[in-house]
Amino acid sequence: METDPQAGTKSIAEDRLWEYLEGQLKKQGQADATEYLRHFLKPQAGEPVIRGDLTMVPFDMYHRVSDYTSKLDASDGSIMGWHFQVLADDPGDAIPAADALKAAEAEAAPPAGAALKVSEYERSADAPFFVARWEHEENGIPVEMDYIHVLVNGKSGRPYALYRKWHTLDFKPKER
Amino acid sequence: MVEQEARKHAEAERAKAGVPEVFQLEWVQQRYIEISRSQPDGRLLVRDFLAWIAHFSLGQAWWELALNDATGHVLRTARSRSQGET
Repeated sequence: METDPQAGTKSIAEDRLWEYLEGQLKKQGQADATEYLRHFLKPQAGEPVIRGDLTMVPFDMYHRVSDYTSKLDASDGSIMGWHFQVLADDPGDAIPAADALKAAEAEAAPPAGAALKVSEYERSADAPFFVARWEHEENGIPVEMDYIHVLVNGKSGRPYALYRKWHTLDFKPKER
Repeated sequence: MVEQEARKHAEAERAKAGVPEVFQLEWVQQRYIEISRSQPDGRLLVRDFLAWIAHFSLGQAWWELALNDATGHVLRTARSRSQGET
């Protein structure tokens, strides 16, 4: 495995950066907020620059705007689901249902045997959101518990969550 | 197996599966289902079956038997948490 020869320098600089940021919060009388700093900010160190006796480490700072969760199948790494809350914010139902369905289809990529069962706006806590749900059928016979479920922000037209459970029928006993 | 045969198998298997007599067979539906079985070596093997789901109910309470389409034998039983006044 390659190691970053500047890792030590960057680590020291990052420690200094956190000390500085925490010090600034304390000066502003917000000492309690320091424990949340590392949750909301993520520094990414650039390459150190040496100027005379000084070694300067530039940082790109990233601010957490939303939690993102994803679930992967441990057997093959395929995506079983994801949810990106920031894309669900500022909801609406301005997008026609047909267009929302197209966005959901692009995300779901429903395979052969996927039967569209739900394609409509629903409401939760009085906020609208678009739901598309496909269920697995083989020759018209339902495959129990197999589905793809996509939620779309009806204002932006962007999907913000996908849940997927799908498998290929196999009539031979084996570990899955 | 066709629907009528599935109903007959459901009625024939219900007592052995523990479905109380007061529950009525409401419907049967063909489905592919996954069944897992533990092996002596500890592995869990899973396979799909073509099955008939037989749904028995009594008010809000229910039982379901999954019958093997090929043999009519019970592959799985399930029941509602509440079993009413049975």
